[in-house]
Amino acid sequence: MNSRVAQLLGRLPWAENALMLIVPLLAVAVAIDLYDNLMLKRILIGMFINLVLVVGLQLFTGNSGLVSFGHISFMAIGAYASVLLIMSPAKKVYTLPDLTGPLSQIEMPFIPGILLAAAFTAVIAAFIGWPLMRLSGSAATMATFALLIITHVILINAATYTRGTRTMYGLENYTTLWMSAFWAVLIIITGFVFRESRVGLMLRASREQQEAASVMGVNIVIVRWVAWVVSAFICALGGALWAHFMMVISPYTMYMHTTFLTVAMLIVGGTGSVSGAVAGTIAITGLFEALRAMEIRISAFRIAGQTAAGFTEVWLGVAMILLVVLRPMGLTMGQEIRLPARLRGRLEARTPKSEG
Amino acid sequence: MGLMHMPGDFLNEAGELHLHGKVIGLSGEGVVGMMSSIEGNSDLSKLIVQRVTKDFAGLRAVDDVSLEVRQGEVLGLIGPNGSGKTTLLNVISGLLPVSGGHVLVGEIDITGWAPHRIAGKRIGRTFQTVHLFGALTVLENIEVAAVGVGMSRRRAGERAQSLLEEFDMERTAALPAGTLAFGQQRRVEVARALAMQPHFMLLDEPAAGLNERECDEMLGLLASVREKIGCGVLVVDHDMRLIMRLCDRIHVLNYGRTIAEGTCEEVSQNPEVIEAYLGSAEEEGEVVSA
Repeated sequence: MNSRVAQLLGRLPWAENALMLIVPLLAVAVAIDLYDNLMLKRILIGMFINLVLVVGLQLFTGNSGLVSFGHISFMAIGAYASVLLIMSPAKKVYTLPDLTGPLSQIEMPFIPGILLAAAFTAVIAAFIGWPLMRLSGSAATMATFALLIITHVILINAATYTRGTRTMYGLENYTTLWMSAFWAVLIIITGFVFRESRVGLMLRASREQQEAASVMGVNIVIVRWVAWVVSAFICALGGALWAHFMMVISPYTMYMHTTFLTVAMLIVGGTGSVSGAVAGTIAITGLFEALRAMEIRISAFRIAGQTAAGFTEVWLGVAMILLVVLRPMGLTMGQEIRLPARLRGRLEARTPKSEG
Repeated sequence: MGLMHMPGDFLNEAGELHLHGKVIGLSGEGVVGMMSSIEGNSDLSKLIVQRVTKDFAGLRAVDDVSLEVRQGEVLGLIGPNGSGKTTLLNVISGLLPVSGGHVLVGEIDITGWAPHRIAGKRIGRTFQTVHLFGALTVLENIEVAAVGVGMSRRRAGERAQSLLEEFDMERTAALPAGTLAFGQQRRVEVARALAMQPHFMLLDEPAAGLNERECDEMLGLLASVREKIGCGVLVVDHDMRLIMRLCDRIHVLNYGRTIAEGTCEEVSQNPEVIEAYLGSAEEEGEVVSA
């Protein structure tokens, strides 16, 4: 058994890094599932969905070096598209009375529904990305930010499909703890596989040195575009999962705040590695929940008749600034997490000498 | 092998460097011998720069320059600072658009092509200031070039590994390229260009910034590359010793214009060259040997 693990680690160098992330995450999921605390469960589901979003964002930003503020628009499109595909026609009569045609009749099972919603979002991303991926640096970042605003305005005005500014309700709770854990693990693995793929390698090269990459045969626009579309697909999945976890969505819940939080998770953890995306998500989620618990306790005292409203946001902001100042390369410094040295040594001793 | 074998395909199935038919010496005879063996691929056997002009906002950096690099030949491109050498390399590799003239590989006009498309014609290059992918490992740096010309990830890995062995740098494979000593970074750049299986290589001052020992190593490396691979090489350098030892022919630029071309001897006796280039080389002599 051990030698088989060792073999796997020899063939897939990233498997070790992936296991170091996935095993603890699943262990926590099992523990909390057994402990059966509703609040902890909800926090964990939220964190797994954020993992999908942040690792999806890392797949683009980390490998290309382009910071995107636009990925939450794909989350929103994915969320609304999944609702349109999955919600039963009987419910749509109430929530989306103006909806006609096949969309009003369709009712897909959850997993095919979210996959189709993500595919639809990826197609949109493919069209948007074609011109966008020619930009670099701050121009690219500004363009993605504009995309976020445009998507938001469209969602608000496409009331037939989204209920506009009003909250969309009537969603089923499909995103259970294990559903969210499954997708988080799958997306983490995808993050590693993509990074080590041909496209991932070429994209990372273009991040480091554009001129050299292009004279080595890298078509920078294409490799960026592929990453953009794949990461849009993943963020759309995250949105669909999130919709069927919260059971209510509105264009406001998938806008600036979520963008800031996901980008902050990525930067705090370190954009350069999948481990960074995971570490940042865990750190910010933990911090956020701890501060919120404190806010509730402090508010209970009603010091001078005041609640502690805003306490969480202010200290979260302060903590983020401190983290970025103290670890500008991110919590993981752009590295992946490796097995503890002792365990590594034991496994390596068992590894049969590879052919190379 | 024989006629059907492309000179760029210097690695055999096992991923090892092999000699191109026979060992090619530095003598003209050897080069001629090899040239005849690749005449069969006439469509790709020459890199041709045809009356190329490049203007930067009123400044003419390259003025009506024509030259030819044949496969298996090393052409030196020399000239004082600012004479347009690097600009010409950037034009050939597609990083800068031409203002006039044409660049051809054999009969294919590659003028105006994007750099990655030109790379697909197997034109590799190195840079004057090292342009490695700093955060990527040394192995990955070389793999990028192999993958960039269409190899699978796996084959690219094998090729990169064998090139590192050839360059005696296996130990550095897993290190981030940016952490290497400067001399080693230069070697990685050459290895990276070779990973493309180039038909032509453009080397921009491969010895710049190297100390004397490293410079000798680089010279030895390039000489062995030249012997084993037989691709066409266009090399820019200030180090006349390197140029004289490496090149079959020399092309001299001054203020963007061709002022001389020919064999090393012819050029070094050309009075215009002596005035324009060797005159100013006295000042640069310190820099080169420093």
